[in-house]
Amino acid sequence: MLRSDWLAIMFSPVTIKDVAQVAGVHFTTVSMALRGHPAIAQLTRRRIEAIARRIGYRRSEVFTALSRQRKFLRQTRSIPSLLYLGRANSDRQFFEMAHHRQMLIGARREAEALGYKLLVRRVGPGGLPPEQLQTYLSRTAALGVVIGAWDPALNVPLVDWSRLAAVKIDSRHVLAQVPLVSFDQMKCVIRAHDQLTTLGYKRIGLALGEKDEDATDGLHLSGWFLSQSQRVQSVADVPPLLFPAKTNPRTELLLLRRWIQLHRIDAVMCNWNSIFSMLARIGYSAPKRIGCVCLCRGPGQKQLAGIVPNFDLVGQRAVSLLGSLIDEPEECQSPAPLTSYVEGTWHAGPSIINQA
Amino acid sequence: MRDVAQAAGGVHPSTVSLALRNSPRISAEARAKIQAAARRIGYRRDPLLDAFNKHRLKIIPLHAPRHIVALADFASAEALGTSPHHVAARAGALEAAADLHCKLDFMFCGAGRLDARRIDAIMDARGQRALLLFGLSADSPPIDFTWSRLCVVAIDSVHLNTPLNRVTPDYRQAARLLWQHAWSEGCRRIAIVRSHSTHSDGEDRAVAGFLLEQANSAPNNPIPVLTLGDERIDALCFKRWLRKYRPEVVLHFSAASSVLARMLGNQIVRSFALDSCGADMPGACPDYAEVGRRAVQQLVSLMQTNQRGLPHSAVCTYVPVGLHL
Repeated sequence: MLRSDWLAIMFSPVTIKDVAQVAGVHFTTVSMALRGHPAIAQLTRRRIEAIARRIGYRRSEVFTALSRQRKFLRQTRSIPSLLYLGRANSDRQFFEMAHHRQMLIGARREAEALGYKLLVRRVGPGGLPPEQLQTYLSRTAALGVVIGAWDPALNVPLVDWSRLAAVKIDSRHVLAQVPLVSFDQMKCVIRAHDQLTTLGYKRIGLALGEKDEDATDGLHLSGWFLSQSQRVQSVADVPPLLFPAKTNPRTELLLLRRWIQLHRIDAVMCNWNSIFSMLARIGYSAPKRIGCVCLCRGPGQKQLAGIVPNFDLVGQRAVSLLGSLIDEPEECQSPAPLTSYVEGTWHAGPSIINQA
Repeated sequence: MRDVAQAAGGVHPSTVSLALRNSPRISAEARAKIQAAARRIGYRRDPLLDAFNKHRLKIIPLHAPRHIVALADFASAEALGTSPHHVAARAGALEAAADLHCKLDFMFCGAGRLDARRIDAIMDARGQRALLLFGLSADSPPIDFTWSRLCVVAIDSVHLNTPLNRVTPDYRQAARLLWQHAWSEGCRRIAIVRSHSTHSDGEDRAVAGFLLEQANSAPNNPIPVLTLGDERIDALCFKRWLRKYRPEVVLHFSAASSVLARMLGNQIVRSFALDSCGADMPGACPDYAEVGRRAVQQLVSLMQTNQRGLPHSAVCTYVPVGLHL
């Protein structure tokens, strides 16, 4: 043996393979043992550690750091994701509805800010079949689910929700325990009522879809009764008009006209944004013959005064709440769900005028 | 990195570091600006250094805890200890803060303590960015902060005229549950009293829930909401109201309970508190520990996503209540 070879052996650092040779195991076993991998028996690990100490093997800090970094980068290629479940009978129906679109915008914005990827799936024909939903949820890699404004008319039974964190937007008819995010219909009625009173309207009436009021747990009516109780009423109150759930447009118009005439109503608040044209069809054109306020005004209806619901903030809050539920150590069972309401914004419009 | 800091218009090097790591703690615009500056002058992160830093952080957790300042309208921590709801909220908030690796410090703006402006200056000097308004009342001193600098969530404090993200017990649900309970026990004449002096959202919502139940189950011959105001007039009004409507059950807030007890005298009327803190007061129990927890969670979420300033539209979160009968 040459002198230089001998020196090379003497002074070359002890490697993991040297340890493996002495211990009589494969070098990967050594690596795993020294990292405390659970696949290696405790006895083997102690033996290998003792040998490594004896022959002077030390793990390289630089190498450890580098390999950990590589592993980290590889792991982060799969970004943790959240699932947004829509419910509609077609993609067109889902994405063309302004409120779905806005909720998704807000939800996506918040998910990105929190470092999640937002997957969007639609439950219904052409999307995820309702009967496969449960299986899908039990296999998804997503950490949490947003139930995005499901229509009670398109009911899908959901059971066993223990595995995933969940938040629902509206959708009061599913999963009673799951936290709820919605638009603040109570404040919106109060605000609209205030605005109309300030303008000098005296006989203000509230018209609602009965179905909608069921779906919002009586929020509009709560706001209405509260707002009325805080005003001095010189004449009898105007009772709210509830459009029955199963009816046709003709009957709705008849009901509306009779209600306006009977109670001499000078301003109507309604959660339907078709109210303006409904009034026009029965001869009450706003703002000349009657004031008209929409409690859930769409983005394009410039002629209509009303409350614009901030649906993007609803989506945003839903994801923010979901994020904190994912981090939560244990599930707490409360008698009723946590609810979070986003206030709407008042927009003036030409459908009401100052009465003075 | 210092060069990038200069090129990006004199920001701090640590801001550059965060921006290049795409941290949500820096606003999106600032991030884009700094990243563009880095590209322009050709700065590249050193992968070996990155690896080392990550490794170092792994073995020595250097995380400076994020600070949250809770502002309470009391003279001292002991004074806060006399309000059971605040104590519960404090416990919940501290628990959530510990879970989320935050540090929660209390500051007091009660009589003889700091005013809001001074606290604002102190928080600014300390670089503290998260504020929890801890159950302020209508009598609290005015709150004037540099909102654009702060992430802020309020517990109750609904009287404030600024749009805030709030967490509060669901008193509408409390009133509805109590109504339904009384109704199921056969009571048909159910009433609610509210105090005039404190205009509060909690009371408003309780009244709203009460009126909704009343309209749903007993629309004929409803008992109007009685508002307690000036004490001398009260006694008279109250007697007249009592004679006229003969309520069997009265819902009220605990603040009004002593006034109510005095005026009822030996009249036998059952009463339920809407904000009972257990003990010997039957009624609805708001879960203030949960309120505190949720408020801190929301605040941390705002901090993580760098959402400072007053919200474009207020978001109010209502925590469910339980019944204690």
